[in-house]
Amino acid sequence: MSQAAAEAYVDPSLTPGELTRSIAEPVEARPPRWWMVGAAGAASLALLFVGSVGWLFWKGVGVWGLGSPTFWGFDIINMVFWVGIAHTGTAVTSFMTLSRQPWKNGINRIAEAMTIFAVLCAALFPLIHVGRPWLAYYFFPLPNSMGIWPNFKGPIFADFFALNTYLYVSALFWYLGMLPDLAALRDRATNKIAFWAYGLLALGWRGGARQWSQYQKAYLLMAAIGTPLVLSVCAIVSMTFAPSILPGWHATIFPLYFLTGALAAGFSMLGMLAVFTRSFFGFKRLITEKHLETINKWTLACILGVAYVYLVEFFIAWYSGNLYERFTIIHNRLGGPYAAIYWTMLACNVLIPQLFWLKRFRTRQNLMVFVCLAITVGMWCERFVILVLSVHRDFLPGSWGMYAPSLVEVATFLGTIGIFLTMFLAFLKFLPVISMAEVKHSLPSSHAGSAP
Amino acid sequence: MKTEKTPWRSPEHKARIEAGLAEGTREFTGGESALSAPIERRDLLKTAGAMAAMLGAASCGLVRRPEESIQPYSVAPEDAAAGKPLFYATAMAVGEDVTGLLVESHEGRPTKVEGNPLHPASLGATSARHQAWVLDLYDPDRLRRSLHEGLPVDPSRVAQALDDIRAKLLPNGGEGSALLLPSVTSPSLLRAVDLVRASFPKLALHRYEPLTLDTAYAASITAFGREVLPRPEFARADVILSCDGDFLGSDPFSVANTRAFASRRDPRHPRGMNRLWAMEGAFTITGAAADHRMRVPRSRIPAALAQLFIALSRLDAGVAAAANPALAERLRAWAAPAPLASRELNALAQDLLGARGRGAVVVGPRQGVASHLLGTLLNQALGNLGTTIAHAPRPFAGHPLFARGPFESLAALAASAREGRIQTLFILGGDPVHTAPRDLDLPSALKKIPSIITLSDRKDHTAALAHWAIARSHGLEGWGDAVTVDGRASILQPLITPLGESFGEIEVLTRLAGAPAKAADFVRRTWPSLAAEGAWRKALHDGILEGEDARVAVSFDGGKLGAFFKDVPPAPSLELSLDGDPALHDGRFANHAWLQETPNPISKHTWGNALWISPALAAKLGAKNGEVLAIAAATVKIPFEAPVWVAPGQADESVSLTLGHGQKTIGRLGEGWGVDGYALLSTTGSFTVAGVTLKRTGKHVVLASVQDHQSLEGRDLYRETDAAHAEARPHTHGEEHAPGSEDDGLVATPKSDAPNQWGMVVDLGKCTGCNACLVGCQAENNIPAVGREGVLRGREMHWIRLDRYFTGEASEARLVTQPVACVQCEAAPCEQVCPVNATSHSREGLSDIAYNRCIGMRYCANNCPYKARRFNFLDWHQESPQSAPKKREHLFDLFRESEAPVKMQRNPDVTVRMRGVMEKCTYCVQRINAARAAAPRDGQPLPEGSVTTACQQACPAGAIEFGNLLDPKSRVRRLKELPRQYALLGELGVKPRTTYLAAVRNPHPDLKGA
Repeated sequence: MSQAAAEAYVDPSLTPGELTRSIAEPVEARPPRWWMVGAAGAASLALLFVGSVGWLFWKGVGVWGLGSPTFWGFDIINMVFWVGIAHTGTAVTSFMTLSRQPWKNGINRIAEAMTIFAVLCAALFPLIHVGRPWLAYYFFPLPNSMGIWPNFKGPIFADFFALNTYLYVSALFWYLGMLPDLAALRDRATNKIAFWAYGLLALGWRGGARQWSQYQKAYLLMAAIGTPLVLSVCAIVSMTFAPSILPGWHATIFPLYFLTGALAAGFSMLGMLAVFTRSFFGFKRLITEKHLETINKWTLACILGVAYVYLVEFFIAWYSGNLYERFTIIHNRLGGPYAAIYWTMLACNVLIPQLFWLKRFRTRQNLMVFVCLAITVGMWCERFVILVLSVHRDFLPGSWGMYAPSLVEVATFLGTIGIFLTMFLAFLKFLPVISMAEVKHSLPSSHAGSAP
Repeated sequence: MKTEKTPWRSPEHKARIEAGLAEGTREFTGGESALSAPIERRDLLKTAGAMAAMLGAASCGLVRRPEESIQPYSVAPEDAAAGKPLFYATAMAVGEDVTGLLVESHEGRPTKVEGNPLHPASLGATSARHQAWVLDLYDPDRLRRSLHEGLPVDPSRVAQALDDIRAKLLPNGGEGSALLLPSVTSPSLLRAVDLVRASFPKLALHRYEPLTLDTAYAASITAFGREVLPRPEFARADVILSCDGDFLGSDPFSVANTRAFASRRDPRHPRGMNRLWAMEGAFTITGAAADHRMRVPRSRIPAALAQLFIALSRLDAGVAAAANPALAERLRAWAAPAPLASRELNALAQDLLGARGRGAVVVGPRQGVASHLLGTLLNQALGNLGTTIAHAPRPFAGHPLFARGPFESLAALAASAREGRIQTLFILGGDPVHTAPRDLDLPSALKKIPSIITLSDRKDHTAALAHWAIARSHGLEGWGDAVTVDGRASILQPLITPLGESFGEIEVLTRLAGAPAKAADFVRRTWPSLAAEGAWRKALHDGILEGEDARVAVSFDGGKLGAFFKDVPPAPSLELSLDGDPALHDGRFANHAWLQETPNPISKHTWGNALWISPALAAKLGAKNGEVLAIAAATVKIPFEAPVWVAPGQADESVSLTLGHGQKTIGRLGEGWGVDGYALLSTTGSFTVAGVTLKRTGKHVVLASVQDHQSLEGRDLYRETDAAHAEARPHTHGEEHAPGSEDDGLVATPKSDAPNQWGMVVDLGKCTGCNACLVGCQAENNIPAVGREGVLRGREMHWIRLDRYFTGEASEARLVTQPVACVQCEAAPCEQVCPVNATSHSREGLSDIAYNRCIGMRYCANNCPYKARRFNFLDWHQESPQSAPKKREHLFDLFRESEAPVKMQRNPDVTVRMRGVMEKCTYCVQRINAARAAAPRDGQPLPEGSVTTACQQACPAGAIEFGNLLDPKSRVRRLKELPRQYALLGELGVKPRTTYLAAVRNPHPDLKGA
């Protein structure tokens, strides 16, 4: 590891003690006013999810705006949207661990939390969107008296396992990384509940040399497992669509499409959460402008990949000479009834992110939040374009139709945002937001005795 | 259990026993002896307690048994095997159109209507209305009990009331009483009327029904001196000219007409293909089936016919001789300004002349006497009378009931009522208050009558005004008889005792006549030829009495025609034309979920109607679909507004509206949707309003269309060819694609050795788009209606739908119809994506769905390129507009069926699907399974014709063929081998089992490419 590179990301004047204090104090102190207000708001939004899903279960999928030919709408759009956001966390930690990128130390915890919460939000949709949710357990390969197994050849089966694996591995990775910090919190605990809770979670971490040695091996191993998983879950979620027969879904570029899109969505979301965390907690010395700039560079790189995929889609639609492909990808997107959404997507995902070529936009918080927000909106539009614009006008013009979400669908989506924010705020309050142990590694003082 | 006396096997064993580690006498320690071991008191009590608790839990809700007692067949009805349906022959009359039917009955419940193959008006086929008739029986809005001053009363009080009225009327011979009848097709009914007249000689007879054949009969008096109806023989006609009619669709006899017409839409027919010319203002399915369609407003049809006659006389002296010079002179005046373009006119004239004695000029029933006379003149001049045009005498001709036309008769009734000359009025069916011309103001006239007794299906507009509304029995609930316009008679037999306390017409009339009779006896006495038991049974069994169509030779007298053409018609202006609705007819079917949801074959609208205007007129007005226009005309007194639909192919000088929608009181369905065209109908009986002006109101209505997009988008979906090239590759409307490769690609086609491999062929040239298949499928397969909201969301459940596309210019558009159901792909994209294996392939080539396994993930429907899959987004049986919701029995009562009586219609052979489940066409797998069960041996091919799908059976055109593809002699296989056979979206490689035959058209050689 290049020591100079690592040091560039944290304020070198920080001492380990200061560092621990500044990260642990928000966890130990009474939550600030903004947190209480935010948590109340987020939890109320989450209740909206409970209410709208209750109504959904009572009445049936008909409370949504779906119909023929759009049998999927907000349910799958938002699932893919959340899955997209979910990719970056594990990617940041595992890629960057393997490639020894020290800058990740400041933000990897946030990124991983974001991943897990987003996957949980995404996982809600496949379960609630089915027509008979009380039978959703048929997804699982359980022996049953009907003698029928899930469709092992079908794309959904792979999807189901990919998402589950990703969720479990991400959660484990996150937890493993947190062990030393949880122990630190335990050691600092001033009340019994905190002592017991963090003590249980810390799994008896003492910080001995042997523990550290084994811990780092395990961590490296998890990173090695996580890296291909990020790729596979992306590819497999995209394969939900690619094996279909529909123009707009049936494309071999989909794994790359989803990977670039997901990383771009994730990095931009991460950028926003990092700004949020450092502004509210005053972590400006830990999450520095240099962190933000690096995140934004990554976002820009992924955005270029996204733009490339858009271009290839157009080219193939034209080059294939396939009537349906040409109509769906070119005519219906650029000039169809949902063209406004497509153009918004292009503007938000391709044009606006180009501002990241300017240093000002990469480092100034307000400016970068604007761009990140645009990308998030653009990515949501992309999910809409992929989902709705491919099915609403497919092969037989006689069955073409339009889709508009019902209020219940909108409420469900807002509800998942509420769930995400609730979980994120809880994370901010109860867990060490920044990896103390890893940041300490980057501090000059931890290398005081070593040779230059 | 452990005692000091426990024997031990070894010192070690003894030590272990003492340490409490080993059992004593038990050789094995796995609990084998638990059952034989003595049970302790505590264990016994524990077990007993647990059992009691579980029993308690079970009895308080876990085990659900019906509370009502059930009864077995202690004495089984003769011939009835539980689970096997029985079929009874009967007939249904809609206006003057009588069609013989076979009605399927499951354990005493009529569930499905099929055509009677022995009946000449059916020949085994049906229309959408016939298919829907059975649901009408179970309509929850039907009057269950009679109403007196709006309150339900017992049937005994109805009988008493009738007796009282009789007693009151008898002394003065029925002075001040009147009887209003709808169209009559029943000799027994007329006999009963005559019985009443015998009691009350002064009883005034009136009749009214808006949509009748009376103008044709009226014209025949002038032309032939007697009341006869021209009966074109479509199977024999080579060239047909249809003038503002819909003989394949909404007009009477469409089932038999379609069958005869479609038999000649086959290039391999020994007599060749026929050619259909159509002149009409608004698109009908007849116009859509035509080889050449000319846009002529309804009021300009006489001019067009006059123009045609003049053109023909120029070409042929024989034709010219049919009219005397004076008439010819007058027709020249009528023909101006000329409605037909000379190119088409010449081709049409040539064509008709070339098919002398083999052509037919058919004039629609909404045309006036002048057009009917001109049609007759043309047929006479072309030698078609007596060859392709037969004549049938009017049934019951000469009966005083028919002394006046329906509009005159109703006007006379209203006049008498206003003058206070009527004290007692009997109305026997129909809803005249709704269907009467509004300018007659019938309600105000009826309010002057102190006593109105009506026999009503529902609490309709008439029943709301009447003092007595007697509940009327459905046609499937009572005895009756009916004769076709050709004089062929059928006996109507009931399939079920009345569901309510209702009465039939005959019961009411005979009671009034003082000789109450059972309808069955009364009907049988009407027919002396059926006195013998054998003859009676045969008549019931066959559904038709033996005999020939009544035909008369007529002699045409052209001399009298001149008088009719003295006055030149007024100069053309923008007209509004009214006609019966293809589904609701005159409005009698408005409270019918299936028919309300049957898309109009042209506009594809459901649950309401719209004013059709031509694209040019729409552009002039700046009006868009759904915009509400105000309609004004000299004859329209009440302000009238209607939403507009820009109808391709509509004549520019004509706007049109269908009748029967927008009823206010008919029931839970009829209300609120569409506009009531009767507000525009005038007392003259004209269905055309002249001099209409339209104004935009700025209001908007969303029209519930099942198809939003009407262009083929240059895609190779609908193929057609012409008679000369029928044996070559067909022409397509779009960019042609290479056919799908024959190899299996990524997904292997399931291989099977099953002896039956089912397949279907749809002949697009024969299909007229009449919707009979759609409603037939709905009745057979327990398909719910989803209501207007459901249609707006695209949630229709019809397993077979009719995609309709317009081709060509918007104004001169042509219309093509393509029925699409699940095509049962061999490499089905739906099956590959199902996460839970709920849909998979059967050995016989069907793409099956296991409803129990389906969790409703809907990927299959997304991935279906034909969008043939239908999803139960809601509990349609609860949400269905026609069913009364059943109460939730417990919290998890997720499958809530509709309440009786609607659920009595359900076919017990087909699963009723709950919410959250996907469904689609199954090729009527229940019928395949029934045929297999009936087959003598298993594992053998089923004989040809043993399986008929519901759509195939209903189709009057014979456009659908179904059978075993492995049988080289099967019809479906032979059709599949025709060069014009093609697979819709075949290039996707899904290998559909249902394929299409390209439509064969027969354009006139002079007009090719036009």
